[in-house]
Amino acid sequence: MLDSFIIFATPIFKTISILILIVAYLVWLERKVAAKMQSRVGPYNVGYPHGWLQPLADALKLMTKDDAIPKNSDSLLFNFGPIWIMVVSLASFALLPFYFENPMLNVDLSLMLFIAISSLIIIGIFVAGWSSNNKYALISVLRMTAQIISYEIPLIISLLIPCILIGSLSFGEIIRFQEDVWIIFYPVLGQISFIIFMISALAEGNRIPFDLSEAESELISGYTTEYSGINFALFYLAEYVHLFGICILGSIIFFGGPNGPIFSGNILIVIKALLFFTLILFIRWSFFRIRIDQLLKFNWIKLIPLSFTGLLLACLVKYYMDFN
Amino acid sequence: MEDRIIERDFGDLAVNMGPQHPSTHGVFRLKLYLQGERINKIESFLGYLHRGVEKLSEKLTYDQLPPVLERDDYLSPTSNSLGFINAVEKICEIEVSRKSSYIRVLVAELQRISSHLVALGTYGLDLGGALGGGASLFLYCFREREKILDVMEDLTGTRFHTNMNQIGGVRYDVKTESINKIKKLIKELKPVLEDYANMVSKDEIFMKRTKNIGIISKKLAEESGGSGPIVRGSGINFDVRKNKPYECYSEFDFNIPLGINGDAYDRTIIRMQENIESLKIVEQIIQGIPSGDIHSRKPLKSPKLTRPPKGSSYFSIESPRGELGFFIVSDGTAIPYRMKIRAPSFSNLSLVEKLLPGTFIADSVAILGSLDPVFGDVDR
Amino acid sequence: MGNVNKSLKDIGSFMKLPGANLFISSTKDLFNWAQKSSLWPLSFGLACCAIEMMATFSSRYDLDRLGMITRASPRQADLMIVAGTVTVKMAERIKTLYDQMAGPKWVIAAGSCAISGDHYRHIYSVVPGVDWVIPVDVYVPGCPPTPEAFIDGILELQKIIGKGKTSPTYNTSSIPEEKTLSPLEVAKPVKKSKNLIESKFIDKNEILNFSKELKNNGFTYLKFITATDFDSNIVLTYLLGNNTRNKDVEFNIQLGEDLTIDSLSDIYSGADWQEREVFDLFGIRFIGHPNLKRIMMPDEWIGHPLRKDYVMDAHFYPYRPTRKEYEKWKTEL
Repeated sequence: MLDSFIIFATPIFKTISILILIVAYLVWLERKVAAKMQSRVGPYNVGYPHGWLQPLADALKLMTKDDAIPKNSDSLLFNFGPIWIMVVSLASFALLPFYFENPMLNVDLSLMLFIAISSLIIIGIFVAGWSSNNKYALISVLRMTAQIISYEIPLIISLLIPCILIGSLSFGEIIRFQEDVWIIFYPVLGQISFIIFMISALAEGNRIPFDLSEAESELISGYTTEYSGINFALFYLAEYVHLFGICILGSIIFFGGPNGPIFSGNILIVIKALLFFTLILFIRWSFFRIRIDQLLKFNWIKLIPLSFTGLLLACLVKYYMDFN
Repeated sequence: MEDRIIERDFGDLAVNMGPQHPSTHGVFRLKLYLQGERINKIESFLGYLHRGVEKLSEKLTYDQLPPVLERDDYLSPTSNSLGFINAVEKICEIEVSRKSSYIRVLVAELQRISSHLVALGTYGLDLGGALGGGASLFLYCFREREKILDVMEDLTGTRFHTNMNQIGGVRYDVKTESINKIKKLIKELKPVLEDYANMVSKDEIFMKRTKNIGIISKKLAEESGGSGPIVRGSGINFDVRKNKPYECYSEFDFNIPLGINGDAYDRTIIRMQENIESLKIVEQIIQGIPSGDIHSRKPLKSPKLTRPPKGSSYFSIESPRGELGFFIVSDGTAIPYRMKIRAPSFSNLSLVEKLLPGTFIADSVAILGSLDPVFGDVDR
Repeated sequence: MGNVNKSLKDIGSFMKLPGANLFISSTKDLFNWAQKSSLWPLSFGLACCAIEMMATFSSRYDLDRLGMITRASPRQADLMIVAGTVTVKMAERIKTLYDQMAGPKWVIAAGSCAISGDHYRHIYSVVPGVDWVIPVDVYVPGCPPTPEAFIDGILELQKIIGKGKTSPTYNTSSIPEEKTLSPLEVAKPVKKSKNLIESKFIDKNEILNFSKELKNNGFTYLKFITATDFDSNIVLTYLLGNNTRNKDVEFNIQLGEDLTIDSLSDIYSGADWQEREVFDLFGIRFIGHPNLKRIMMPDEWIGHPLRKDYVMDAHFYPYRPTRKEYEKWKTEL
């Protein structure tokens, strides 16, 4: 029995430890890239030079803070929020071929399962905002629920367009199809679906220009206002884990995954995901934030009809390809 | 058994944007009554920075007051002392030499540019967040402002609360190396300010967030007592530098930008265009600083205290926020009997109670940022 | 130090083993290093010193090098930099914010207004120094302190944290036992002079008609409404401007014993806040004003500050915690 437990647990342990290390250094990367864009030096003194011990210092400091729970809130729900978000974000990595050759869960519908698991995050966020007993948190989660539910639709449809062209939803098939040419270089449909995916990924991951739930200038800190210490560290890291998962998904579906021009290997998935992440960072530190009603109007009036048109085009193209 | 659904109306949600808030530009408290995301009613509370400067001025002499008054509108300190000193000189009928007038205008215009840069930078923080694109705009504006503060340090010795103006003249003279540094500053700043004006005015998201937001109609602008870029955004052509010229402004050639709609977009664009006009004035000053004395009070070694004759007078200047005025009642001694500061931000901020109801929360931050209040000036 | 101290106390028996001291002290050093390398300040600026603090965070004197990011919510912040003058109205909010901050926390008082009140220290509405309200660890002098001085203050604080200090310093020299109200000091009588204003005077009852006539003639820009306290009466001064013809009209009204007058807020919408300020500082009541409340002073203030017989020193002490509250902070931190 112990043997089977070890066989079951070892891949999980390996993936989670590598993942947490990568995500902690994604925080460092963000601060450095932001600093370079703003003509200053980022973290420098902590772990001279270039501040490579900064994530460690942040984590240890957050461990020593007091754990403050608001008086009139339910402490079980209050602690449940961050834990749920972290667990769901990590659980979605079971489907990605990230550290091993084959993913831990190799099923036919892996793409759909990934989207389904990562859309459970909204439960944790809602519980966190509600149980804080704070008006700012309440307004912030109301906005966030509307935003995430609205942007699920273009996300799924933009991921369905390549899948219709390929003919399958599992990651293995998708990777095998892209050995000759990546989806993003496909004539018209590749680019349209990538742009829609990019916009929806920013909205799902709560990044500028769509981060109104943590709009610091209006709502203090949004749903994380009342959290301090390790709970806050869990929120902070879980956001990056979720975003990194979406980046890896983008690199597998649009950029060819482990297939490269010169050599192929699993390491290329991570490199492409990091480049995609850097693109998201450039967008974050250059744009302002839009308002909630403009956000929802943009989605329902412009983005969804465009994605449905793309889907229809993809179906027609596939039909003619199969017919001939 | 009939099922009855009882619908209760809980009324408005009261949210407090308290005195400590990342984007109320200082200490200001707003209580918003929300219905969903719309604001129905607001209540505003001031006075968190009331330092009683008017009471303090009844204990200090006229010569001791300019440095104290500089802490009022702390984004452009020399305009405060400029206004006060001009008011005293008007009662006492002191003539100031042309050279010191030029130096006073030089410092005032440089501080106008630095104040408008801070206003633009903090507006970026409001719209975009401290962790986002707004922070990039904020840091770029402050980077340019540092160059201006370097020139101020070279001219006067400190970065911004410079005690440059004195009754009867200025304290320090302009050296030749300083003139070269100012020429270099103008050459560096000119392309950069035009660049920022283009970058912000053509940004899609900025236009979406600020066009048709917080429209001040012409009638409201006339009656509310507001002044400065805020009413010029609605098309009213009133600038104290042109309508009632003081110092040597009538010798320089500059325009007053006007807006059309009166929304937040126009107000921000006007401020950026005023920067370019101020830079024109600085260029004209540098090309022709006259020679002469910088003080007009004699003896210089042990000057006597200023004792204005009995009476009252009012004098106003154009600060980056609007019309800043000083009403002085003097009873013949060296200490004022009453000094009233006509603060532009106080009258401008009273527009908040008319502009905010009916907008979204996100718009309230944009409107408050475009009114550009400085709370040292509001509360005095 | 919050949870770490409590858990360290629990393993007190572990300390008795030989060599265990090295383990505990290294862990403490490690946590002190982490706390000083990742200080997160609360974004809190009051007055001019806040502008210099913003300049310290900007690109030239970058504070992100030392690991500091500003956080907006007090629960996630460790450091409170009080920059600017602290007034009576603001003192309660500062105390509330300090209480809401979690865990080991430190305070820097930056600028001479926060250290001792600067030249405002004897004014009725200013707290002479923020250490009347919260305990302070590092004082940074200057008016305003240059960014180099700010960084010097933060490095000083990092040295203190590195040596292991996590509980606040108590300024216990003169803490009162109970909350006290100071007696109103008897001041020297102030000489009020006779009327010095020479511009136009009108009668109190004609103000509404006069101002309506002026408004119809184009004088729509109300510049200010103020008052001056002369020896037998208070004189109100109004200044109206005409933008198109560049003219000003100034008129005054003498108020005798009865300090009431009609309000102009129906005619000019800008008269609203100006009249509230005159009510607050002089005590003149305006009939017909929609919302006549104090605007600059707290609502429960007694007295009208700008009258000549109001003493300049503080009327009652601002909020200051008593000795019992300080002791409670010491044990519960």
